[in-house]
Amino acid sequence: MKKLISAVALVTLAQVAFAQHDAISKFFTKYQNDETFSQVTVSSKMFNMFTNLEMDKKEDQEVLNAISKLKGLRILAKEEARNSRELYKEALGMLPMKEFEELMSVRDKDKDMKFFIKETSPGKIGELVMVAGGNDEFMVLSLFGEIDLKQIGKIGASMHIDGLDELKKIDEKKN
Amino acid sequence: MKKITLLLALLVSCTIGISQSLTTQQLARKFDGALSLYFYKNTLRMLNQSESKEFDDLIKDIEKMKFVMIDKADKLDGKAYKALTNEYKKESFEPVMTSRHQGRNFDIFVKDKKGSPLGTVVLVNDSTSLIVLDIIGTMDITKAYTLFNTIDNSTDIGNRIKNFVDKDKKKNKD
Repeated sequence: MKKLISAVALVTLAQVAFAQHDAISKFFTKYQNDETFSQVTVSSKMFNMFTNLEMDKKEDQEVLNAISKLKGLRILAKEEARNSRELYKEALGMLPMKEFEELMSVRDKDKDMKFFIKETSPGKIGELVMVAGGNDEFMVLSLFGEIDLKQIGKIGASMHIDGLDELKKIDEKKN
Repeated sequence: MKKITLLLALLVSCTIGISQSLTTQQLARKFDGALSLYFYKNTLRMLNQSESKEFDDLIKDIEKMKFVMIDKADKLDGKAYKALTNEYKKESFEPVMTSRHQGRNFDIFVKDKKGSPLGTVVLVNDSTSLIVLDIIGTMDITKAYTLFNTIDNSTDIGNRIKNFVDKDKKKNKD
């Protein structure tokens, strides 16, 4: 019986931990079986593979170290989505705004994008969320782990994910 | 920064084992009707009819790839698929990425030694078939869909896949 209670406690803890890591998991859960959405999940193993790599330049090594501290990435996207604006509003509505602060917003002629961060300690971010909605496309992205605010622009530029490269604008503003 | 970008492509990259996964070999043997094809660097290059530089870059470090296609009518249900992924895990392949695009599910596993990748397995799963890409060499696994799509759209390979599926449909009707 004790073992069962321990197992239940572990499962509950794991669920709580996951929920903390991924603020919009409710949104993912709601649409993950909807085949009209494309989705991508990257595990911590992928990022861990950077841990042992060494770079010549200190600057490159710092970015690499920052990437190796990431724990996961989830993307949910829909193309040719007539309801993209509604999805955009719904995703923003599901984000717990008490825990997150807006990092940046981009308004293009046919697309809105918002970036949010959840700070775990000064300068350290536990999660980055990007929500993008256009006339007929929608995307929500959650990047979690230990995210270095100083490296976030370079991490975004390295990822080759549509929209995430907008983060480089943060570095441009700094300079 | 360029180096980091290249490394991120490697993030994601996988090198190379001496031989393909035992699980893939057993899978091809278990399903008699499975379509098995081997692709070597030159064969992959021949698929690049549009001479896409992106595709050339993608395949340049792939030494060999085994392609196995199994019709799901051959008793390959969800339980069997789960058992298959467990077999890869027993061979120390770890899941690094899952994705779904246009009705196809992609599960990607990497085997590594102290961070150096040893091999990659891409499982492509849809409502009718399971396709395994067992890769010896290095590739950017974020572009697994591009690789699969090029194979799928290649006239010759595409016809063989179509014939394979049609053959199984006919067999089921009989």
